[in-house]
Order: sequence, then structure tokens, then C-alpha cells
Amino acid sequence: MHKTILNLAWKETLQLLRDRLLLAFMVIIPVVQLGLIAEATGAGIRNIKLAVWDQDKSAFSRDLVTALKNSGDFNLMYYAQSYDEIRALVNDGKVGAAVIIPPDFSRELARTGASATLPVIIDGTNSIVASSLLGAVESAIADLTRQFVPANAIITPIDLKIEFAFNATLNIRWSTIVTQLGFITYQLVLVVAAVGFVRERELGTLEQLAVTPISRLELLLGKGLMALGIGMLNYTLLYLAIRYGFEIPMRGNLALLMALGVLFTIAEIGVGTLLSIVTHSQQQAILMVFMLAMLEVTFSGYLVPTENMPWFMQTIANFSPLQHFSAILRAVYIKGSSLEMLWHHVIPLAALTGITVGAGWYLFNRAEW
Amino acid sequence: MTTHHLPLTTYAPDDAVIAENLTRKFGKFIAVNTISFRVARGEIFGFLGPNGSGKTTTIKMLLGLLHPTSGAANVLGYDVVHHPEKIRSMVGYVSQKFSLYTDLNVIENLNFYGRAYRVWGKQLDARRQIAIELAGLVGVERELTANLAGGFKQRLALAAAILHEPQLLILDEPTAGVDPVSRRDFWKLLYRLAAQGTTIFVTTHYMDEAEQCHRLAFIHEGHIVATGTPSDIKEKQMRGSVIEIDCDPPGRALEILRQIENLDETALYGSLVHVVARDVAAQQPQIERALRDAQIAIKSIAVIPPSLEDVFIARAKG
Ligand SMILES: Nc1ncnc2c1ncn2[C@@H]1O[C@H](COP(=O)(O)OP(=O)(O)OP(=O)(O)O)[C@@H](O)[C@H]1O
Ligand SMILES: [Mg+2]
Repeated sequence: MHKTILNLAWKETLQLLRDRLLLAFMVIIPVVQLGLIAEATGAGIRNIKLAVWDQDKSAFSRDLVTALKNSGDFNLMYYAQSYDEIRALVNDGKVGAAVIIPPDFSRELARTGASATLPVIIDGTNSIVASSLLGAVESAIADLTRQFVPANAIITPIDLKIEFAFNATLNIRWSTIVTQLGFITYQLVLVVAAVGFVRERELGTLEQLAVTPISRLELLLGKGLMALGIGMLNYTLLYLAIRYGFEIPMRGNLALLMALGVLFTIAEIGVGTLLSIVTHSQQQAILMVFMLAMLEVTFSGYLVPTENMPWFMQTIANFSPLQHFSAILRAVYIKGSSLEMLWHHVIPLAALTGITVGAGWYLFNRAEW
Repeated sequence: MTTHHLPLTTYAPDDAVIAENLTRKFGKFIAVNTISFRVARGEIFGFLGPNGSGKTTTIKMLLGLLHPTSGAANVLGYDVVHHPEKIRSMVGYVSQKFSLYTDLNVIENLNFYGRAYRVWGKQLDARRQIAIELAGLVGVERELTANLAGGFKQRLALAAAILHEPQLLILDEPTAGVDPVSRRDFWKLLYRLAAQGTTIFVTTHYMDEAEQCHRLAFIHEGHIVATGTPSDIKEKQMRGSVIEIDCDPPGRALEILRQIENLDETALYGSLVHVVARDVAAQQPQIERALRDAQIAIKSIAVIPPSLEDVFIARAKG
């Protein structure tokens, strides 16, 4: 049986590699979508103007300032003398970031095993810049700590106490990008699965398949495996782009993020397969995908948070795999939530997966070729 | 083999296909109407009929792609409704519309279908090579199927259908739209396969192809109106005789003749008029008189042995 499924998946792969339109769709959509968002939120983090208020005035604090200066990411513009001065600099947009070194910073740090707190103010208007800034500050400090602490000591990380000056809701901007992971995978998998059977029916090749000893189950699994492969490849690449290209820190468990990605992809394969079975042409199938996507995006909480919707819309939203998965992504990726904290989304998602796959299987079995 | 769900009391091991009162409706329209026929193992069975007469519908029922509305069919010992999966591995099918993957090349298509029929590895390599040579596909192995000419496509479809060495090969108008030379070559192939013991069920419009079949069934508007060997059909199933008239102008002659009562059938074959008469002695003079009265010059008039087409046209009317 597995050989038959692999034979089908291989055939689909060969066809995909020759389908320029679908290939373009697979590459262009993610690039354009992520690119537009990068453009919309701004990019480029070199030469960020920096203000420092050094209350410690120790050798270490001076080293820290030098390290920030030398990192190449910052342009040290101001030595501030008070918190109000710092705030004003950030508020007026004269600097993009400010570091406040507390009076006892080096002493705190020197106490082995204790961690020191370093308040940082970042202009969060631009989430991309803000997240990159954060990374730059973090790495500059980490480098320094490594020099400062004896090699055999346990390195305790400096706790960055971050304050976002303009945008207290940087998380929402991050989640916009992280949610793309779900959206783009969603579009791609749905289209691939939705054309899967109807395309072969339209071309007449489904009938030829039907007279071979390949069972319906094998056919469904073969096509599903292919869609899952495409979906997860896309998902992984997007993850890498978001994690390392956009430098949005991933706080959760990667294995969990991947496993739930698989679950979500299978749910969407189920939906796509259903569409593929009930439609009569590829054109119809694609139209249905668009209609469904519009609905699901509305209910996903991307435009309006689901919590702010009227109760009946919230009820409908419960039937959207994308809604659950968007919530899961935000929770796992940005907040670092564990599986235990997510059951209220994972269980409905698993149930929807079961329902869509089951319904697809049922209808497919009943349909005359 | 006789134990697997046989609705047919008369099944014998040397039957490849039996249809009994097979019927299929689409809504109210009856596409196939209580047809019964048998195909013996090893024979080339021709299934003939005009467009829309129910050939493809019948084939789809034999393959389990469509369920009969009523009646039953048995293929290679298995009931088509209850055990289509048992039948599939023993049957090869070349559909009316070319339906291999045009975005795969020849080898890729053959590999895929070979494996689909559970032929793997070395055996697949060997059989694929044989099929490629048999079907005359040497040299185009890496060609994208979309770029193949019609005759090549037909032979590729045949090659893909025989990789698993089926006992029964079902071909639905395999030579439609193919040039005469390619058609002849294709039939040579069918003969070779039949000689190896493969039963062949083939539909066609072409009478020259029908003549090459061991046995025929003629379907018209969902009914089978004649069955038998080609010579049997020509000799015994014609009610009346065919009178062939060479006259000028033939079109006008046809109009005149259609006004005469008691003539079963009048049809134009090129420039020749064919008339079916039950009583030649009485009707031939009547015909000659009618044509002469209409100032139509008769170059020749004679009773000829009926062609298959004459019989089918006559039976379709009756
Ligand atoms: N799925 C369907 N729904 C409704 N009518 C159908 C369907 N399939 C076939 N028919 C009708 O049934 C009749 C028989 O069709 P079928 O395809 O069996 O004819 P055929 O003998 O194969 O003709 P051809 O030589 O044109 O291939 C036709 O009138 C056709 O329009
Ligand atoms: Mg047909």
C-alpha cells in the first residue's frame, strides 16, 4: 500500500514541477505577501540613533556603551542625564532606542548567580526595527557578558527590561507577521488540495486512475501526502524567513509549532478535498477557495479580534480551522505557550480536522467516478 | 471462480464478459436498454453503434465506473457491481478520450501506470521495454506526452494498458481520428495481443475494422439490434436484398425512391444508391419505372451481397 501511495505522490511531484503556474503561485505568493508586510512596516536597522543614560559610570558600563557603539547597528547620539531627557529624546523621534544603565548595574552583575536588569526604551512604531533593535542590544550585551564573566562561571543572562515608547502593542505587529505563517500555508494547501481531484476529473485522467487497482483510500492518501509535503515545506521556509529574516524571536517549542502545523495542514487538505469533490471544474474549485478564504480571514481574528465580535460570529469562528490555528500560532510563537495552555484551540482544530477529512472520505467514496 | 457473487446462472469459465439485461438511465433517458451479450475468452469482440448509442456507457458499467440501473454484468468471473476491484487488475482499458498525463513523458506515464497495476522493479523495466517496442514508441521515450502525435498517443495508451498483462483489454474507439495507415498498424497490434490469448473488446465506427472482429454486437439507441460473426450477420440477418443502383443524379433518385412504398431502406453510398427490397422480383421493375419516369438515367442496377453497414442500417430501422 505504501508503495502505491508513494507512486501517486511521485507522479504528483513530477506534475507539480512542470506546472509553472502553480510553482509560481507557490513561490510568488509567500514572497510578495511577506515582502509587502516588510515594506509596510519598514526595514533596515543600521545606524539606529541611540541615547544612553549611564548612572553606573563604572568600567563595565563604559565597556557596554562602547560595545553598543561598535556593534555597527547604532549611532550613539546623546548621553542623557535624566529619565525625562531620555523620554523626550525618544518621544521627539530624535533617537530610536535608549539604554538606561542603573546605578548599581555592574555590582549586581558581578554578584555571581544574580542577574542584572537593564531598562531599554525602544521606539516601537516600527515593529521590524524594534525587534531588530532588541536583537542588536541583546547580542551586544551578551558579547560583553562573556568577556566580563570568568570563563568557567555560569553565565546569567542580563534581563532586558524593555519599554516600547510609542507602541505598547508591538506584539500585535509581530503577530501580524507570525499569522502570515498560517495564512500563506492555508492558501497554498487549500488551492493544491482543491484542484487535486477536480483537475483530474476535468482532464479525464481520474477515470483512468479509477480502473486501476489503486483504491480510493490510496488515492486520497497519495494526493494528501503530496499536499502535506508542499504545505509543510512552505511552512518551514516561512518559519525560517520570519524567525531569521524578520528576526522575530520564537518563544515557544519548535516541535509543538511544527506538530500543530501538520494538524492544521491536514485540516485544510480535508477542506480542499471536499471542495474538489463537490465542484465540477477547476475554476469552480478556485472560486470556492476564494470565497472560503474571505470568510475564514474575516473570522480568523486578523482584521478584528475574535473576542470583539458579536456572539454569533464568535460561534461561527469556532468552525474555522484558520481561526484556531492563528490563535495557536500567536500563542506558541510569541508568548511561548505550551500545549497545556492551548487545549481550547487544539481540540477544536483536531475535531475540525477529523470532520473535514472524514467528510471528504465519505463523499469521495460515494461519488461515481 | 464461479463462486464469486454470480447473478448469472449461465456463467461458464470460458466467458470473458456476460451482460444480462444491462440497463442504465440518466434521469428519464435510457442510455442502455436491457442489453444482453457474451464475449468468449480469446476473441476480438466488436461493439458497434452510431454516436450516442450507448457504447461508452456500457463499457463504463463493465469497468464498475457506472452502476447499472438494472440488470447485471459479469467480467472474468466477477460481478461488476460487487467486485469491481477484483476485475481491475485483470483488465486493461483504453478510453475514448485520451487520458494519460500529458504533462508527464512517455516513460513516466508507463512507470506510473505499471506501478498503479502493481508491477514493480525489474519486472516493470522489462515489461515497459517490451510495451515500448511493441507499440512502436522507441525514440520518443523522453518526449512529453502533450507533444506526441495522435497515433503515438493511441499506442502509448495501449502500451500503458497492457503492462500488467491483462486477460481482457477494453478499447473505446481507439482509432477514432487516426489516419488509415496508423489504424491498420494498430489493428495488427490487437491481433498480436489476441494471438497471445488476450480477449479484446473494442468499439468502433469503422466498418473495415468491424470486419476484422471475430464477433460483433450492434447497438442502436441503447438496444442491441444484431449480434454474430461478420459473415453470419451479412448472410443471415438481412431481411431483404440490397439493390445497388448507379444513376445520375443520385440525390434526386433518392428522393424519388423514398416515395415508393414497401422499400425498407434507401441510402446513399458515395454516388451509389442502396435500396433494401423484400421482394426483388416485384420491386426492381417498380424502381426502374419510377426512375425512368423521372428522367433519371440508370447506368447499372443489380442485387449485391449486403455489407455490414447495410445490415446495421436495416436493423436499426426495423
Ligand atoms: N453522464 C451522463 N448524463 C446524461 N446523459 C449521458 C451521460 N453519459 C452519457 N449520456 C447520454 O447517453 C447516451 C449514450 O452515450 P454514450 O457515451 O454511451 O454513447 P457512445 O455510443 O459511446 O457514443 P460515441 O460514439 O459518441 O462515443 C448519449 O445520448 C449521451 O448523451
Ligand atoms: Mg463513446
